[in-house]
Amino acid sequence: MRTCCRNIWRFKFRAKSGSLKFRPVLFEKECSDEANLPQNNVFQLFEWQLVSSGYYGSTPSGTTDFAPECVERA
Amino acid sequence: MSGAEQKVDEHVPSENTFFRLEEIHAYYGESYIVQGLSLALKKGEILALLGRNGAGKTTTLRAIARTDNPVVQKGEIWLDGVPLHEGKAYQAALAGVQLVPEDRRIIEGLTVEENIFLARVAEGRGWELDRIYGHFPRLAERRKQDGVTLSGGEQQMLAIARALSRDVKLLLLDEPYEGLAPVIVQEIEKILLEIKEVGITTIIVEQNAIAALKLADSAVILDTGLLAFSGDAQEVLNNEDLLQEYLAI
Repeated sequence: MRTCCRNIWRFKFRAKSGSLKFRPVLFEKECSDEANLPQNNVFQLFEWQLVSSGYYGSTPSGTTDFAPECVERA
Repeated sequence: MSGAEQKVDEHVPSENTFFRLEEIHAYYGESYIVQGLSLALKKGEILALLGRNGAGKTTTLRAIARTDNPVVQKGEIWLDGVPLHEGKAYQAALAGVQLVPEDRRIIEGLTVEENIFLARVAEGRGWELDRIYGHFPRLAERRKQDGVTLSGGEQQMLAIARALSRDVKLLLLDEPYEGLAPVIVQEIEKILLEIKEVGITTIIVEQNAIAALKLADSAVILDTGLLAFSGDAQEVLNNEDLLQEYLAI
């Protein structure tokens, strides 16, 4: 995860099966870095849903195949 | 006869038991919340899990779903012969447990349909979209709408629909009527009755105890983490002492 400012956190999700594709979900933050990645946010909800779907049981960092990344605003 | 004298445990395992808790002890940190709860359900049974605030109802549901919190320090959880207590949340989900949480957890930025699709990402899928939309026509009308822009009742429907899109063996409903207008509660009740007809084993936690009891076959009342009553739902409805003592009705 990179640190950047005045960016958009983009959540990309690639299903291992390749059968599902999601458009990137964009979250605008005035000034974002890893520390102020939105709390109780969609990232956590995403993870909760994937766990609830039996997709995986890991914590958000490191071992998942989706992650927030920052995208420089044009 | 007082509520305390009504203490019986009809939820003892039998050969028909589909789901059971055995002496569950669950903690949030040092806080000892669920204190040795046991119960057993037959396949297709609907249980109303009742009690005042802080009784341990939501904690029990979360323990069954094997969320990271609470920690289950002792006890066993069995669903259709599978030992859930030995696994994590995703394994409970794969075994057929679906928790519809109180806050619904609809994902912002995803449409109604994408929220449902996300629940279908792994094997063990349940109802197909056509069937879901047949039961939830409001969701069909709003399938391309961002999920969080739905009304509270519609979000509750989406949360339930998402659970049904899994191959659910045990449905855990946490306060499905909370914050909803009476007319919407009636609509959710109708959906839950349809689910009942399908025969999905369900545990419902609900402050609206009367509504939950009318839906349920059986009831368990918790009092500060301990079992206060276990028996038929109708028995609770007919017992004013129980209603007053433990449910403040």
